[in-house]
Amino acid sequence: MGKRVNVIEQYIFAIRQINYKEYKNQTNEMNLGWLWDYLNPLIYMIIMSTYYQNIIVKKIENFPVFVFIGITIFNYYQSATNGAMRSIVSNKQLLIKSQMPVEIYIYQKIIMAARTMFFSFVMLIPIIMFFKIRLTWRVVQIIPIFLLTTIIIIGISKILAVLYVYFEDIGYLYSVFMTLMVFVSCVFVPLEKVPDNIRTLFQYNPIYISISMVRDCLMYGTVSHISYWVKITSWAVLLLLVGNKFFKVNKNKFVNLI
Amino acid sequence: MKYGIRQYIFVIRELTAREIKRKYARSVLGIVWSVLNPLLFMIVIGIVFSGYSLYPEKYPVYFITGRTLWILFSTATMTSLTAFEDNKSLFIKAKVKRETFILSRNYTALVNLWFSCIALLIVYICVGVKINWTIIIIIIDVFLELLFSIGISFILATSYVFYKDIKNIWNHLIFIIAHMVAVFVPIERYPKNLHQITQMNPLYIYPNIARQCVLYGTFNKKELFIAIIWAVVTFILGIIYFKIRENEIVKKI
Repeated sequence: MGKRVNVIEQYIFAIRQINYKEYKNQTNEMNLGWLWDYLNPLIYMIIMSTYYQNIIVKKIENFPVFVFIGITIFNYYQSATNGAMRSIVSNKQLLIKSQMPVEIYIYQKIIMAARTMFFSFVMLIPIIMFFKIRLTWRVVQIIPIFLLTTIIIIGISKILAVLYVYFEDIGYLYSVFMTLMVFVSCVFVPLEKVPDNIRTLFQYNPIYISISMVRDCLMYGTVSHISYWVKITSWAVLLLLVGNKFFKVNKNKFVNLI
Repeated sequence: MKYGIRQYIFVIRELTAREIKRKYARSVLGIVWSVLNPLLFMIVIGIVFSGYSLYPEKYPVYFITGRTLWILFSTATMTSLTAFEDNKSLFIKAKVKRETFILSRNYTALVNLWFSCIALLIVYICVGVKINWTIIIIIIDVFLELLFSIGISFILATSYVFYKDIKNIWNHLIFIIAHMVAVFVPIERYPKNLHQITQMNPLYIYPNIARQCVLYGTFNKKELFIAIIWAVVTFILGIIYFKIRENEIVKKI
């Protein structure tokens, strides 16, 4: 037991080292690097909510907050999966030399993205105060939502990372796919405005489910509908199982390939 | 003199070929992506956004035309941003003119646009757009936009040598601007007070001229006039800014 804890500690240490290195690389050349983590979502919020206010027929209360939450959660999905997809190929050198399990590189990218999201949510506090939204105890829901979302992301990332080793075209395809997802996840357009025939498609989209659940608990202070909980949990379980299985089956193959 | 220009063009073409090869180095489909990308986008965005347009049946053509021109600007400027840094060694050693690096990146974007035109043609034929003489206007329009992009590229690439923040800022700005220039949603859908500003925005004007030509076979003289002014002024400003700071760049790199 003690040994196991020790190993995990080592992994955490490794993840933190890689994180630190990457973050330094990203920001050391910039004067205001850290500030960007906070400012980005704010700027997005302002622009999106001014330009798209007209296409919404039914007035949404606190539309900027609506947009902000959408963008933040979506960014989490996008940067985590995108980073994780490339993590194995880009850490080739480390992968060959060190003996750490391959999964570590994937988790590291996801943690990186989660960190950025955390910064964004810190930014959300003054915004919520500005719009005078009253928070209730139901905010606690955000913890399970966040956990389930992360599990979904881990599942997707594992599948993508394996595929990316075999054919790099998946990178292009996925970037197109994600750009399209912006519009299929109600990031800044509410569900009511979407044509009827594709609305069901939206409701099964995990990104949409996460976004709308966070909106429920932060903006409206309600508990999300039970069907949302069922859907997000089943997505999480399904993707985790499939992702793990797929990863295990292909692990030896792609390690050899690299 | 003539020899000089020839050599100049040769270098640009070589650099561009290298750029394209590098971009698609490990990809199976390679340059086909330049054709597939706009088509894929058009299909999905068409499904989601055509409901907002006043003329849903024209939306696919509206979107794909506007986006193609928008992508020319965004890729040209985003790739040029790091042009000097990426070619550091060539920049110092080789006796090529330093402008070449920027021009080659812009030319790469133009080549990409050329491939996207295949996608455009497919869509036009399928939808049954009548192509008439206004197609010439589009060519002029693309040329003007390229001039504008080159101007912006010079300013960005020069600044990037000194302030690295620019890269991050520009990436985000591009994403934001895309939503400000009526690429996705037609301008009628914007709030009234934003119309005036958007109509003066060069990045709205260039795609718009092309859209007008394709959809209605007409063009607005005033708009074309503004487009020319923007292109020429930005181009000259870009070159001047670069020339002033050229020596500083060499020192810094």
